[in-house]
Amino acid sequence: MTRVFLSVSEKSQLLSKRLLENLLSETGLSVLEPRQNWFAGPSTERERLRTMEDADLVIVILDRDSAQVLFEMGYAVARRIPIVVLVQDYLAVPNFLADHAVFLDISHTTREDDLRYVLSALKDTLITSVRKNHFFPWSVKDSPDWDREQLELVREQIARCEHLARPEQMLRSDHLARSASNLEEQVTAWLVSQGGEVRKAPRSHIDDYDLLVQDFKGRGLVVVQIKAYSQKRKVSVGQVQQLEDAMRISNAESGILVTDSDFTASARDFAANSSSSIELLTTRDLQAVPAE
Amino acid sequence: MNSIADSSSIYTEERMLSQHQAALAIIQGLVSNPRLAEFNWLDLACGRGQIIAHLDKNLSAAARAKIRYFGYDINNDAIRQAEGRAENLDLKHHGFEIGALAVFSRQFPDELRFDFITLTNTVHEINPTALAKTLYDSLCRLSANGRLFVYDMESLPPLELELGAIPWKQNEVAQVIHTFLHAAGASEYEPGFGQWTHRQVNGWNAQIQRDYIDVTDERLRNLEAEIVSCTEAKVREILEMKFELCRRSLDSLTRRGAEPEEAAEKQRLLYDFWALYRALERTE
Repeated sequence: MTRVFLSVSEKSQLLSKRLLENLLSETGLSVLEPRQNWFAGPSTERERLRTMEDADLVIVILDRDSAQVLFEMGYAVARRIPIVVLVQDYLAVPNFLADHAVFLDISHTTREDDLRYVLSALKDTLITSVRKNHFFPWSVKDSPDWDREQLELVREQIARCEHLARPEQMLRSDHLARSASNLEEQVTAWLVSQGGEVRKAPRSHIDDYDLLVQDFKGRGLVVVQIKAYSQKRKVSVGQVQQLEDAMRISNAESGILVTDSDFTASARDFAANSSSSIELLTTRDLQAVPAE
Repeated sequence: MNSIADSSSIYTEERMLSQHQAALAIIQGLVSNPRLAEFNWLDLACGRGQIIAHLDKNLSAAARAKIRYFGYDINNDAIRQAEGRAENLDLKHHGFEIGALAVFSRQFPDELRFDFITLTNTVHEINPTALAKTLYDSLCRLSANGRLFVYDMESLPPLELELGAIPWKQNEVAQVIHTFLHAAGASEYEPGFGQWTHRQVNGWNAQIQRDYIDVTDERLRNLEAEIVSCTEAKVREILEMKFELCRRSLDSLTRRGAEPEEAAEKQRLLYDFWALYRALERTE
């Protein structure tokens, strides 16, 4: 059985508890030592590090209160134990850490859907790691509870990483594909390549849209929203509704919503039937359109 | 603060909500003025007294002794609890009135003016037909240097939806208040609006300061009908826009079905649809 060491701050206790109750039991992982004492002294910390050495995987929940967690993460890096980091609070992850762990940003999830999102994203990540690097004693075939679509997705992820030799590189690739800031850079580059003049949203409008574009394909002002989601979570009708609202607030002529995931049927229906000019694009669409 | 049965006044002993902390921080600064002998504070929709629950941790005894606190709420039981809390705070005065928000101004003597009016976590419960008049009455009730502090959520948490409630976004409230000030002849005044990021939902706040509005009390009284009517028209325009977006989203969900990530959204849209339909029916 795969042994997991869970490193969390006091702030993320609730999420950690839910992970333990739902995810770990469901995936057949065993937890070496759920943290009990948040004010542990040096001897307890030494004991924790000794325990970590027996772990096959370290799961880190990174939030703004993570001084001790970062210390434990550093120890795991030094001992070359695979790490999965669940990032909260929209923390920017230092580049050097990206070489040592896979990061899943769960900041934008709400309390209600935390678990569903984390479960699906983490499952995918673990399976990808397992398949390629034999971190865990099970494989895609050993997970009969997953449906065909999920298995296809895992296979696709594995194929994408096939050329990478080292586990750290594979994990980094996965991280980069999921990273919101990376997606924003990708979208910005694409808009510029199409002749657009791109500006970031001012802080006061950061919840309404991400980018403002002028001179894009002959249009006036365009607002752009970017949704970096797990491939398991699609962009919903409510989010397209928000884009239309953001267009109204900004007096924009049109709006573009880009995701690394996909859109629900209702989201596409809403956009198609809107009298406003709304374009829904996936990262696959961006790759298909050559630079002007 | 009208007749939304799902509404509940929150009171948690161990926790201070950030919007209440912010209001107390403003009061803390104002009452520390050594030349100030008395400070009239009207707490609209005071509920169970959440905002005064931690007053003793934020204000010294001397500062509390300057405060004349007036709580106002529609809920009698809530007021009784708030009153119990106020009794132990050694305030200069505390008094409570019961009634609907739309008529709060009638409950106080004409000459009474407030240095601070708080309206927190309540705008989503206000009947939109009463929003303009509530704003107007609040402004008229401010003392020469008085200020109005309003806070609310942009949406309700998924597990705390209230049938009939209309959450307002920051930009929508800003439009309403700008229209209101324009009609009052104070279009050059840009009141402060803030957006608050909470774990589950976003919130907003607005602060209106009476001395930044260069209009006399008499002129305000003369302009009442025009101010209220212009503001009501803006409220209706925004409600219609929100209703149309909501209706079209539900229409798409009806045609295409809701996928798992849209289950909570569908519920929220249905709540919104009913609240907006009900509100628009009343504003006709």
